[in-house]
Amino acid sequence: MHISEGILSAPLLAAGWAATAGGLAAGLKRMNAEKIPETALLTAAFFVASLIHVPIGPSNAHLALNGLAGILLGWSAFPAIFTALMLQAVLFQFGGITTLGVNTFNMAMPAVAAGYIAAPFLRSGRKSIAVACSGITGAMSLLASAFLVALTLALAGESFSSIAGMIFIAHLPVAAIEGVVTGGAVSFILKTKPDLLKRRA
Amino acid sequence: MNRRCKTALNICSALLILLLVMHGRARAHRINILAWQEGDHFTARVYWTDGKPVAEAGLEVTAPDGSVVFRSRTGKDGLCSFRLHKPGKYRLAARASMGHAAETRIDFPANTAIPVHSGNTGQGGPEPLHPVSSQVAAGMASGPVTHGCARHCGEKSGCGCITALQLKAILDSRLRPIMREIALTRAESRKISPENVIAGLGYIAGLAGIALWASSRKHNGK
Repeated sequence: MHISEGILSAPLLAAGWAATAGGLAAGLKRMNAEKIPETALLTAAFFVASLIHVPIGPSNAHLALNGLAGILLGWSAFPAIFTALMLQAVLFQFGGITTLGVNTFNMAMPAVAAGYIAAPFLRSGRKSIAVACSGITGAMSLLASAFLVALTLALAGESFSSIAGMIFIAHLPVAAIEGVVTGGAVSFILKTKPDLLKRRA
Repeated sequence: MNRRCKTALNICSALLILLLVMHGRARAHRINILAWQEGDHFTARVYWTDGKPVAEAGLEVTAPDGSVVFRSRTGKDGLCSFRLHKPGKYRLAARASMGHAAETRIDFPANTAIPVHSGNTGQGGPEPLHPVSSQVAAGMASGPVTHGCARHCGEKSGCGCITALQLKAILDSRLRPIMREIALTRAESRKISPENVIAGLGYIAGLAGIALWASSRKHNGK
């Protein structure tokens, strides 16, 4: 879901940067010293997870773990995902520098939303519900990112229905894997250190 | 480091180790484009960074004056051939599904251009590459190679001489596998290396260190 250079118009790129700047400001404001190592480790996880690809039809999709980042980091998912995407753009030429704003927003905004949606379930005290909801929100955040990518490409002049259909189909199996990974990670954290989830930014 | 940080460290370290182990079969999420010349034909190859071909990728060739001279799609093998008629530096752009794009420049030198017959508008279509006829190949093997057949042997039929154009076709045929090999080698070199992955993780650790240092300075009131 890295949109490459030369596809989006200047207004779209500017809007993406503006939205991402807002998210970065909110994330950095909420990041304290305790949160920095956690953010860095999830940045690394996001950075590497995007290299695991699932070939689907003429295209391929990759793991993102943006839902897990949102559940654990909240708004701090913005700086985490921004840093990971920037390094991917510089080191692997995934996406691009000009599209970094749009790509960050498309991945980080659903992550933040996943964090807010999962939060009440994580605080409910019922582990099975918390794990199931985390898995579902993890999967949904990836599909929401796919939706935003389709919407972005539609705004760039492509047919929304065909792009959205292709992206959704491509990401359904990956979303299932994301859900399992996110649910598993949350289950482990609930066993070992539940405060980590309750005290997120 | 408090317990919270240690737990996060353990979880994420386990995740990272798992992902790094899985990196061996990682696919890169970027398309690349390569083009090589075979006479007046070019062959473009669009592929994912792991070398797998990108089928049905849109291909567009733009002339130096900005006009689009060729537009087509790659086959299942990620290949697409086209012919150029005017020398110059062309822009070759590929676009695949889900916002993936790549472009490269191709130089079509004047000395490799073959004269165009009248009626050709310069709008090339995807054409198969020229096969070199067995007669031409046999000619190279059996007789002297000259650029002035008429001068040397008076255009006698079956003399074994070949024209400059035929010579060029033979050379193109012989060079084709070499050009393909070079293109594949280039594709191989563009794969993501573990060094780059480790470098990225190093940058992240460095940035975290800087953030912690800044945070500690702020905490200490400096």
